[in-house]
Amino acid sequence: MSTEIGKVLGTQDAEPLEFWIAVSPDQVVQLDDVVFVTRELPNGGRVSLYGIVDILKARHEGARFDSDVFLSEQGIFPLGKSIIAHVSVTRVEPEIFVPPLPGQSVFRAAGADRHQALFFDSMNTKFPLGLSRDGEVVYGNLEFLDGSRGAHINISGISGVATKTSYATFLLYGLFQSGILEEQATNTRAIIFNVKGEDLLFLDKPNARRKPETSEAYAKLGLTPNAFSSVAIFAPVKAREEVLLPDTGSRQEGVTAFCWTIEEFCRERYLRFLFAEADDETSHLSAVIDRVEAALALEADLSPYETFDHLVDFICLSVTHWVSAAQGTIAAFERRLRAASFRIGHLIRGRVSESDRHRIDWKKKQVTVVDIHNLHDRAKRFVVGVVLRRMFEDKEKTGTARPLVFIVLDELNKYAPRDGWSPIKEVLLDISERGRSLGVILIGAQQTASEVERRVVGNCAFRVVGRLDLAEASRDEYRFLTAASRGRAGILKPGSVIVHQPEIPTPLLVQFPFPSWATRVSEVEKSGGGDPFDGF
Amino acid sequence: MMIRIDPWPAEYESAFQIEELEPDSEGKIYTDVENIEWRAVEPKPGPRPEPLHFVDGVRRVETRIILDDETGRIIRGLFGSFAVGCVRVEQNTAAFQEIRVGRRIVVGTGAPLEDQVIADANSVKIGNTELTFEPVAASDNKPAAAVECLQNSMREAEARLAEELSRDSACVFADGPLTYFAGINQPAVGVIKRLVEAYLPSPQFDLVRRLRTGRRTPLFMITKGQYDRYSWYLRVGEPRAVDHDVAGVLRLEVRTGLGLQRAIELADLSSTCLPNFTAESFRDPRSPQNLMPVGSLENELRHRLGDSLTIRRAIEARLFQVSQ
Repeated sequence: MSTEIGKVLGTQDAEPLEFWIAVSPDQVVQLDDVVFVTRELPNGGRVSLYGIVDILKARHEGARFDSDVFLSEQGIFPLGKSIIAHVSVTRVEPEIFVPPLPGQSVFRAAGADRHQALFFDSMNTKFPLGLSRDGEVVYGNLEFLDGSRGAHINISGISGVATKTSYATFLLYGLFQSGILEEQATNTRAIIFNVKGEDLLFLDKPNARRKPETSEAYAKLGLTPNAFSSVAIFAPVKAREEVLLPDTGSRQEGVTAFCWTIEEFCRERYLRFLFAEADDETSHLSAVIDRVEAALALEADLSPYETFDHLVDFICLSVTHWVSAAQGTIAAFERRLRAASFRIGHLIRGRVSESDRHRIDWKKKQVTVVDIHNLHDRAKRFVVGVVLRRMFEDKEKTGTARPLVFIVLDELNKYAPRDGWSPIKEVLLDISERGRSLGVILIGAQQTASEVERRVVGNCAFRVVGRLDLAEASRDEYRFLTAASRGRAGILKPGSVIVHQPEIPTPLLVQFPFPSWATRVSEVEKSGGGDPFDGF
Repeated sequence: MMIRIDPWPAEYESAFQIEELEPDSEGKIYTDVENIEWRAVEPKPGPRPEPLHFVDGVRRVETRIILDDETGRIIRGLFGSFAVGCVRVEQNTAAFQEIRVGRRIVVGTGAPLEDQVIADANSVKIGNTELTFEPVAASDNKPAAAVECLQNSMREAEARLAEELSRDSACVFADGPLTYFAGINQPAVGVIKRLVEAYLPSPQFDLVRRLRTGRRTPLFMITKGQYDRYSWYLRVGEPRAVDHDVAGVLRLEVRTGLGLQRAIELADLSSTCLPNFTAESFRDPRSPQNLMPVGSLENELRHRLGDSLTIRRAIEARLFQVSQ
C-alpha cells in the first residue's frame, strides 16, 4: 500500500522532471525511496509523476544565526524543524510534462506503483539486480542484456571490497536460477576468469557460513540460496612438473589442469597472443608474427618439438627463412618471444596424454572457471586471449545467438586498455561490438573505467559502480551518476552497488546478498558432516 | 453604499506606535508595599517552576478604505489582520502554541455594520484559503481610530489567550500592561518594554538606574480605580556605554487581586528567569528588553498573517467584484 510521506512544497520551484517535497514529521524518508504524485489536469486528465529521492535536507525554520541552534536546544528560542526531499523524476505517465503543484500529496510507491515508477511493469523479461534499501527487489530488463536491445555489463569499483566479482557472480546466479532464461538455461554458458585470489574456485560448494538473513534475501529475490550446480574449474598446469597438476593452493580436488599442445598452438595460430603487450604494436613486428604464425600452421611435422623451448629455438632458427625483415625487427621478435616463453612456456607442452582432458572446454559445464591468478601478466593475457578467441570462433561457427555465453573478466584495464593496441583488446572489442548479435555477453570489471577502452565500456547497457575513489567518480566515464550518487559512490559498503540501466534515467542503489556459495576454503561445507573424532 | 480603496499607504499611521492609554497621572503610587528597605532585591535562584508562557500579538493594516454612503460624508475604515500566540517554555523545549489569527473590517462611525456591501466584501478567497474579515465599528471617524480599533482587537485576543493559558501555567508573561485583562487573579505578568513614564519619584527612581542584571526594585503599588497593580522594575541586561542607563530595564506588573505574597513570588521568578531569555544585540535590535521568545514569536506571528501584498491584491479584486 502506498503511503503519503509529504507534500510538494512551494518555496522552491517544482518542475516536470524534478521537485522538492516537505516530509511529514511522522514519516521517515531516506535516499532512494521511490515516490509518486498524481496531478489532475483542468481538462480532466491525470498525470502521475514517479521519481526517486536523491537529496534530503533538514534545517531549522526561523533561525537567522547559526548559533540559534544552541538557544533552541536550551529552550530559550523557539524554532521549527523541516525536512525536505528532492525527487528526480524517473517516469511520467502519460507523457504530459507538467510540474506537480505545491500542496499535492506525495506517496511512497509500493507494489504496482513502485513497478510503474521503475519501469518494471514494461519489462517483458526481467532478472534480479538486487534489493533496494527498503528491501524491495530491483530488476533489470533482460532485453538489454541478452542482445535483443542491448548487451553487456560493466562494473567499476576499488579493489579489496570484494564487490565486483561477487556482484558479477551474483548476477549470473540470478540469471541461471530465476528461470527467466527458460529452457535455454541449461545450455547457457558462462566463462569466469579468476584473476585474483582463489575466491571463485568454490562456486560449486555451498557456503557453510550462510546466515539466515542471507537466505531471506535470496527468497525475496525469488532465488534458492545454494551453490552453482554445474561448474568446471580449470587451473594452469604447474610449471617444472612433468605430471599435469593444477597450480592451485587451497583446492586440488575437482580442478582440471589446463594446457595446450604445441600442435594446437601452431595449428590454431596462438602465437600472436604471446605478444599481447599493449605497447607491442609496431606494424613491422605484427607482420613478422603473422608470417611466423602462417608458417607454423603449415609446418608438416611438429612431433620433434617436445617442449615449448624447443619450438622457440626452431622458430628463432627459421624465422629468417620465413620472413624477410630488418635485422632489428627480427631481433625484437626473438627477444619478446623468449621473454614470453619464459613466462608461458609451461602452458604449451609437446606431448600430453589425453590432451582433450586438459583443454579448456567451456561447453561442458554451465559455468567454467578459468583460474589465472597465479600466472604472470603475460601468461594471463595469453590465456584470456586464447580462451576468448576460441569461444568467439565457436560461436561464430554455430551462427546463432542462443544459447548465450557470459564472460566474466575482471581487470579489464589490462586486457582492453584505453591506449595502445593488442590482440586481446581486438577480441574484446569484437565481443563488445559484435557479441550482442552472437549472444556473447561481457560482464567486465575494473577499478577505473577511465583506463579502459572507451568502446568496450560504451557498449555496455548496464553500468555498475561499487565503491569508487572520489577523484575517479568525477571523471566523464561516470556521467550517468547523479551528483548525489557520485558522492555516495565514495562510501558504499561491500554488498552495495549503484546500477544504471537504459530504461531508468536515475541510477539505483541496490544491495545484493552475501554469496550462498563458498568464497574460500573455510566456508566450504564439510561433506559427510560431523567431527571425525566424535567417536573418541 | 460603496467601498473604495483609500490610496493612503496602509501602514502610514501604524509606523509609529499607538501608545497604550495609561492615564497614570491620576493614579497613586505606594512604595512601601513589601515593607522592606528601598534597595535592590536579588532573589535567590531556585528551580524554575514550569511551564512558562510568553504571550504576544502583532497586527497589520492590509488596506485602508473609504465608505461612501452617497451623503457626502467620509467614513474611514480598514481591512486589518492580527495574530496572537504564545511560546511555551518547559525544561529545554520552547515551542509556539495557540497561534490565532484574526481579521477585521474596521468601519468608522456612521456606517451600518450589517450593510450588504460589507457582508459581501468581507470574505476574500486566496488559493485554498478563505479569509473572513469580521466587521467591527471604530469609536470615531478619525484616521487613527480605525487602527486603534484593530489594536484593541489584538489586545483583547492577547488577554483572552493569556487568561486561558494562566490556568495551567506557572507564569504567563504578557506583552504590555494588563489593561485588557478581565480577571484579576491570574498568574499573569505584564511586561512593559518601553519606559514611557517614571512612575517613581526621583529618589526611588535612582535605584532603577543603578540596578544590576537580575535585580529588581521592591514592589510598588499603582492604584487607579478598578485597575490596581503591583509593579517593579527589573534589569535584564547591562546597557552599553552609549546607552541610556535605563536601557535593559523592564517594568513588570501584576494585578493586586493576586495578593501580595503571590506578587512577590512572581517578581522573584521574573528576576531569576527573565535575564536568561535576553538576546544579544546582534540578534535583535530591541535587545535586551525584547526577550528572545517574544522576538521569535513576533516573527512567527507576522509570518502567519500571510503575505501582505497577496492579501491586498485579493481584497482589491474582491472590492472590484462586489462593486460591479
